[in-house]
Amino acid sequence: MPQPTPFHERTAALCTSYAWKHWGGYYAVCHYDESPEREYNAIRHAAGLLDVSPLYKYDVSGPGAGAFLDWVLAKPVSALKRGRVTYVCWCDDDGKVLDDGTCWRLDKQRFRLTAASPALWWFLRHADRFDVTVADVSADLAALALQGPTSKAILADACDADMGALGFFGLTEARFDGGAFTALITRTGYTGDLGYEIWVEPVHALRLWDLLMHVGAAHGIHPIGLDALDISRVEAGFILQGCDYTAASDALIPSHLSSPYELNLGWTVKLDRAPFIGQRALRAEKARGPAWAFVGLDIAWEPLERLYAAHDLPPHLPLAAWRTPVPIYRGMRQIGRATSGAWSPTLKRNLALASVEAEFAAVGTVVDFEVTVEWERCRVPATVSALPFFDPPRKRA
Amino acid sequence: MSGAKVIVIGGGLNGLAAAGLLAKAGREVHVYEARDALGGLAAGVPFADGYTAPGLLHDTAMVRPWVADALGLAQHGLQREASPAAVTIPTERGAITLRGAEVSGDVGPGDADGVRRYTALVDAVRPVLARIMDQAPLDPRASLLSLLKTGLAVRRLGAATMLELMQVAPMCVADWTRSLGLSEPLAAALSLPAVEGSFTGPWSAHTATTALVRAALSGPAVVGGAPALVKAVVAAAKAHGAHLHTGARVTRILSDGARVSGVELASGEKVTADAVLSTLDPRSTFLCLSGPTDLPLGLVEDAKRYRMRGTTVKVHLALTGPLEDAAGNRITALRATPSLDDVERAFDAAKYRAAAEAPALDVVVREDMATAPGHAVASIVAHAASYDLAGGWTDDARQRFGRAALDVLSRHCPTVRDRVAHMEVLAPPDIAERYGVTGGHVLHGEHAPDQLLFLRPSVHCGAHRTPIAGLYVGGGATHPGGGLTLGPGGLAARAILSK
Repeated sequence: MPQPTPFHERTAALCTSYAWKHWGGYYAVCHYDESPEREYNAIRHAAGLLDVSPLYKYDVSGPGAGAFLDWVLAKPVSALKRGRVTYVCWCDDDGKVLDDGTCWRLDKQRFRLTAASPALWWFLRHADRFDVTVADVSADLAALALQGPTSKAILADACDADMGALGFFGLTEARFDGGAFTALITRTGYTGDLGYEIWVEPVHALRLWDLLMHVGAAHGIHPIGLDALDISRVEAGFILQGCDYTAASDALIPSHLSSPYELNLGWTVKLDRAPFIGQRALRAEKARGPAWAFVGLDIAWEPLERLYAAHDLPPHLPLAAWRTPVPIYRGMRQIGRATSGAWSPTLKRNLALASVEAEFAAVGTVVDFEVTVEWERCRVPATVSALPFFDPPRKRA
Repeated sequence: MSGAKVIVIGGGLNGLAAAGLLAKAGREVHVYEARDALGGLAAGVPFADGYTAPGLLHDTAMVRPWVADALGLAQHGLQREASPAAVTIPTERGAITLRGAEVSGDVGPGDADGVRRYTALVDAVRPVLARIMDQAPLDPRASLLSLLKTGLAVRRLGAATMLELMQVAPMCVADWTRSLGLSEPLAAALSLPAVEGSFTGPWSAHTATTALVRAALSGPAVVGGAPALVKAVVAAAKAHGAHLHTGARVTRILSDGARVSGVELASGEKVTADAVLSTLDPRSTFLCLSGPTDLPLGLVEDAKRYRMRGTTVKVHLALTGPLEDAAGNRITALRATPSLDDVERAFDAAKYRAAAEAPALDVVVREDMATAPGHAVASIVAHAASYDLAGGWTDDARQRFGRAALDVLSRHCPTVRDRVAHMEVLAPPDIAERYGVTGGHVLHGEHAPDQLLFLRPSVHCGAHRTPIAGLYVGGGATHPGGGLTLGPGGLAARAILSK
């Protein structure tokens, strides 16, 4: 049975839709209202408050912490400065991605990793060769994502941190409620917007929620569920493990496996350095060129409208983001699959994230996207687009 | 790369054999042995003033002839006995004497026929097993031709032998020997070589294969025992120009994760080399001597998984007279194994962090290794006890095990107790510490199907090569396995030379 998160008392009281899902062993809200629309708009125009406590969190500490992470992660982090966060992925020895997440430098000998799926088993498998301790702190930290243009102002009012000094992918400790409790703030998020994540001991969770809701009222704060997040992360072009790719550990057949290069994560891989897990395979793949490319697709609107019009229907789109894989064609041949997508309310475009054969990855390439209209399989053109689809300057502020 | 420098880690029989062959081929070879003595598990063990045990392992019957010939060991004093040694197998009323395929003494009604059938299969499969042991390990990924050749060799055994082999190979040695109609003491005695040194009992799966392989590869023993073998191999290696360094412990294999560059010694000295051959076990080679980021993950994980839980206790007796039975007959070799169940019970102890109360004993007696005239040394490989004994291997625990072994021996040799001037008991941790073998496993790891041929010690280095260019492995933890065979060292040298 899923567990309630430390914020459950508050989220449950607000979740009038009763739309819950299971996330990492916890109950998580899909959308508080009947649809995620208001919540989505809070992210892009004010601030959305999302309970992200179910994220997996691991503390890596000890004199060998840096060396250990350099061995396990595709990106070296031992040179990461204290108070900085970086986006990382980790692979198996065949260079296939197990998971992606963030790595924080908390102290000289202390790091924290966030992960989408349980990773302790993998880290412990390699930790015994290093002077390092890996601890699962997932349940020791409650977490809220505060995302949107007014998030900075809310935090500036709610805590004593110098929000002006907390840059993109920065990390700071802050005192809340006149010093009643402290929490860590990271300038991170999964929305591609200005945003923060606040990490606090579970005992202070409700106080933090109440404080942010109280202070945030003047800044348009709105509790949001995972559906709104999902729309924003598609716009931001962020991949989701288990949806856009399969963890190497969960793959049933070789074609389920993905390398970082096939997921647009090549930039997180640093090959020319001391050996790390997967290095040989990744070197070989880079030299060979990856077989697949992860791309954005902009699905043409008018041809879709015409398909519905032929049945005397208006075009139909789901209210939330979708996650059912859809075949992508070029001529008669299937050349890939779209793995998630959403109508972007901000961009007014019908968007998808897709894996296509590498030769079709160039921006501007037109492919066919399968749609089912009145139980008939049809195709509409879609254009390969640069990711992210939505990239406001405030994202990096 | 003729003349290129090769470093061999470990001056045991395999390291010395490889060094000799590499030096013979024109390589500059340096052997680094941590101990002060060469020969590893085969080296003589001085354990009391005037008494030296004939090696921690004392069975020299399995030396591979091709390595001995390639090294020219005969020119360096190696001689093999003319006939197999007579092994005494105590029974309730007396003893069976086993000499090669002949049994005499207190034999049971089915013993003569059973040993004949046992020997017939051993003799029939010998050429195929010798072929497999003397070449690079069989690997299903290898060329079809090499597989076909071995397959043909098996087919050439004839339908009857081939079918018998297929039937026997997966069996446990207890089922096999009992199915031959042997009396219990004889069945148990024939099963002992299959379980000795390993984490198995006669009722463990696949032990029939181990028995079959060991019997098929056994020829006449070396005259003078293991120390004489060491002497010949050292002489050959030196004559070929290998440099042998003792008291030189390698603490690190230097590599950049792709290519080996040399080794670092305990003294801090770094020695460069074009190739490094480790004859240590995989835990030592890949986990202790290599840095955490030096090796591919698969190899590290295989090394961690590699099974080497030592079960052997070595007991050395300094005797003031010969080893004799109740009638005063002298004994040179003895297997004290009353029944298959007794051997199994002895192994049970090792499973549960205990030591056997009545260990199964493989005894070799040498009168030439005691300096005082008329005195003798009894070298006893005792099965079995746990490396990780509950309560730890205290002096008291060692003495208790020694007394238990002596009790077993006294049943057949009542005078032995009065003749023991000194007793040394080496428990698995002592063996680990003294010889640098992880777990005190005298065979450098289990001889189980998942750890043999191309899987020994790992699929990533089964053919004596590793994923690190220039790094080779060639000890008992590689094909064809542990024991005093010279085989792994010979094949490793071949792998280096074929590069």
